Formats: sequence, C-alpha cells, structure tokens
Amino acid sequence: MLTATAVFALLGLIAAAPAAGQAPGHYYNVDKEVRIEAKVREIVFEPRYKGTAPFLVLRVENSGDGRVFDVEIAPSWFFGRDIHGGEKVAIVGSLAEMPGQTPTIIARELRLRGETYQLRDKHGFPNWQGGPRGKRGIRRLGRT
Amino acid sequence: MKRRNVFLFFVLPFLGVFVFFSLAAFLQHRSFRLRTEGLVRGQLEATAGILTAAVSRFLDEGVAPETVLDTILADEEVYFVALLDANRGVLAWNSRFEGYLPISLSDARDEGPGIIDSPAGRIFSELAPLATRDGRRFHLYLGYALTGMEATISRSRRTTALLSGLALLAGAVFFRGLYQIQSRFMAKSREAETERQEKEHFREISAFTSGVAHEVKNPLNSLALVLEILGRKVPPEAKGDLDLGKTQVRTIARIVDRFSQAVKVVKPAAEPLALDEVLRQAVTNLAAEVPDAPSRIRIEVAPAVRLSADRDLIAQAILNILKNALEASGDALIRVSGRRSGERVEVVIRDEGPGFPPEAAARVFEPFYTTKEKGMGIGLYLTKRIIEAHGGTIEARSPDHTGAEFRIDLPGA
Repeated sequence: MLTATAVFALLGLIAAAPAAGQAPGHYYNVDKEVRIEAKVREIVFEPRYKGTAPFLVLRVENSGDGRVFDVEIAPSWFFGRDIHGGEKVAIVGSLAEMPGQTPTIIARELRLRGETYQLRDKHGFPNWQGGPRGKRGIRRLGRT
Repeated sequence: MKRRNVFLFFVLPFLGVFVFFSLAAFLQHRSFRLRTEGLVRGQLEATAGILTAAVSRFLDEGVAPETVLDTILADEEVYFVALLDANRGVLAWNSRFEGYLPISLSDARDEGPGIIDSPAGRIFSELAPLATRDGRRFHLYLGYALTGMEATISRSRRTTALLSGLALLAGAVFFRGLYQIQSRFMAKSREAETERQEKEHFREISAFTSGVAHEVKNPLNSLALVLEILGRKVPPEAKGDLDLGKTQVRTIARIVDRFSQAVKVVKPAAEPLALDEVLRQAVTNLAAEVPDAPSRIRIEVAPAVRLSADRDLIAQAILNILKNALEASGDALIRVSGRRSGERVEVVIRDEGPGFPPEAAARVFEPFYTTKEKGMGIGLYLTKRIIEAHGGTIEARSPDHTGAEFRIDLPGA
C-alpha cells in the first residue's frame, strides 16, 4: 500500500520535474582527479547544469602533449576575474570523458597569474553553493 | 591557607565535579546523537526501500532513467541521486549541487547507509540494490540531507555546552563561596585561639599575682606595724631613716594593691551620668597625684551628653589615660572632647607627646606592657577592662607620631 502511494506520488511529480538529468559521466569523480598545466585557447560561457547560470568554460591546450580540454570553472557570476586567451593556467580537477566529445575537466583549483583560486572542496562540492556552515566565497590561497 | 590546601580542598573537587558534569553531558549528548541517527537511518532506509521499488516499476514501464531521477530529486531532502548498473557504473544521475556526486569508492559503502560530510551539512548516503522484472540489476545511490537531524543534534550540542557552562559557573560560585566561608571560619578560629591563649595567660598571671599579693600583704602589714612601734622608741637622729623605711613599705603596699586591682573581676553598676561631670571628677581625682592637672587638661563636652556607666570605674579609667597623657606631654595641653553619636557616646583624649609606633597601638592595652621607666603596664590594661565591662570599646592611635589619641566608645543614656 505504501509503495503504491509512493508510486502515485512520484508519477504526480513527474509533470513538475525539471528537464532531463546530467550526462552519466559528467560529475566530479575524485577517483579521476588530474592536474594539468595548459594555455587558454578560448573562453566561452555555456549552460552546464540545468537550471543554473552559464558556466565559465576554458578551452585549453595541455602544455605537455597538446591535448585539448574543456575546463569547467564556475558560474560566471562567481568567477569575476579577467582571463585572456593565451594565458597559462594550472588546473586541478576531475576528468570527465564522454565518447565523441572533447574531454572535460571539472576544475577544483585554478592557478592563474600566480594566484590560486579554490573552486570546489576536495569532494567536488562547489564553493559557490551556500550551506548551513556559512557563506561560501571564492578562496584565494595566495601567490606562488 | 596554604596553596596546596586550597588546591586539595577547593580546586580539585571543583575540577572533579566539572569533569563529571561535562562527561555526563557529553555522554548524554552522544547517546542522543546516536539514537537520533539510528532513528533517521531507519526512516531513510525505509524511504530508500520505497524509492527503489518505485524506480523498478518505472524502469519496468520503460520510463527513461533521467526522468525517474528528476522525479526523485524533486524531494527537497534529496541532495543527489544516481542510477548505477550492476557494475556500479553511473547510468544517470542528478544533483542539487553542480557536478557534485560523491560516489567515490571511499565515500560509498557496499552495504547499509553512510554519512558524508559536506559544506551543506551531513549527507546520508544509501546504495540500494534493485532489479527489474526482466532480470536487469541496478543500484540506486541516494544522498539525503540530514538538516532536521543536524538541527536537533546542534540544539542538543548547544544545550550540552550551556549546561556545562552553567555547571562550571555554579561550581565556581559554590566553591568560591565555600572557600570564603572556610577562610572566614579559619580567621575566626585563629582569633578565638589567640583570645583563648590570652585569657589562659591572664588567668595564670591573675592566679600568680593574687597569690603573691596575698603572701606579701600579711608580712607587709606586720612590717608597717613594727616600723610604727619602732618610731616611738628610736632616737631622734634615726627618725629620718625610719621614715624612709615607712615610705618604702607604703610604696610596696600601693604596688601590691594595684596588682590586686588589676586581676579583680570588673562589675560596673551602670547609671545615667553627665559626661562632663565624669570627666571633671577624673581630673579632680588626678589632681591629688598631679597638682597641675586641672590647668593642663581642657574639657570640651556639651552638658547634655549623658552616658550609662559606673561613675567611679569610668572616672578611674579616664584618669589612667589622662595620667599617661600628662606624663608623656611635658607641659603641653591635653584635650578631652565628647559627643553623642546615635545611641553611643564617643570620648576622645589627645595629647601632644611623642606618640608611639604603629606596632605599639595594639599592645598598649596589654598587661605589663609599658614604655615608661617606672611604669608597671597596669593602667591602660585596667582602663580597657573597665571600658569593655561597660560594653564599650577603646582604641589608641598615634597619627604620624605626633601625639597619642585614645578614642572611647560607650553606651549612651
């Protein structure tokens, strides 16, 4: 009886639910964390997650092997720094590869012009999200 | 009180009580947290069971996994949800936090629920197996917010901290009070012990003095009689020596009388008296010994000031002070003032002599304490006994060593 009630409730909610979910491999997987140094080729703003503001995405070229990655930084309102094509960046993030698409790195940490920006915590929780533990903002860890 | 004793009797018990309270509060809070977590776990496991059944049915009906997950995420308490294949590969997922799906091997457990710490609070994660009718096997990975439980546990933590703080405060106040009471008790005990020793000392002196006075008086009376008889028989040229002997015998008799007086119990017969009359009587009595006393003592008292006292005893007490003052002041004037102060009468006697050092202020009333070459240290001692027998007090001070001041407080009439 309880199961049936839940089923009806869920069916009722389907109509009000948001659009389709995320691509299966596109999440911050701590087991697939990588660190790269790359040069910025292109800067784009793209919707990455449904119902959220467009994300700042850097198309970069790995300094080592020349591979191209899309680096998902943060919502544009959160990362309010100037960034230009040709600049060198160092990124720590989780690699998400999907067949037929440019591999994406969901960035956790970005080093730009000697400054390090913390974008997510070590489990991939976004720093722009609030929570009971107080306001969260972009954390600069100082110059290196 | 020694520092070690303070530690042993106050600080240590206080710390013991505080540690006990804190431990009890901590254990209570821990037990509450475990019970709450257990309850929430049970409830969420049941919910997960319902959801897996619902998801199985949707999958059986051919609904796309993404749609099913969106439906589940519509529940505000669900932070993330993922549908995994039999090998735990992610088939579909959704999360309230962009890209946040803590499904690492270190986060997800094989069986049963787990709790993941996140900046949004603690998240209850559940990996529940499910199967469709056609035999396909999946896992439903769910992350629930534990905000309700967090708030409850947080309240419990605050209450625990508050109780510990109160216990600390109450303990501090209690032991501080206990320490003060104990300190006062110790001080009073010391005073009582000192008083007891003084009384014991006085009793010994009294007994000794009474004995000596009694033993000396009888032969002294005989000696005075013999000298009187001899006075009639000796030739005129020996009369001078005999008179000297008689004077010495009288001096000894006077000394013995004073000692006897000092050890007697003072029993005043109080009556209403005019203060200025008492003071003048003391001056008149003193004039017998010190003839210029009336001219050197200035009395400044209103006639209306009346006290309740034994006339002769009080006059004697004041006489003793005046005599000391006259001896110490050379030719200087002695000032005596008196005034009414509520139910009491205050008499102040000031001289302009050399005064006395501060350490002597407490000792001037001790028996046999004297700074004079020929004094016996009896006069001020007797004065104090007479004043105290009237329910009064007396204190001596010598501000800046410029003269002495005796302040007497007596009951008014």
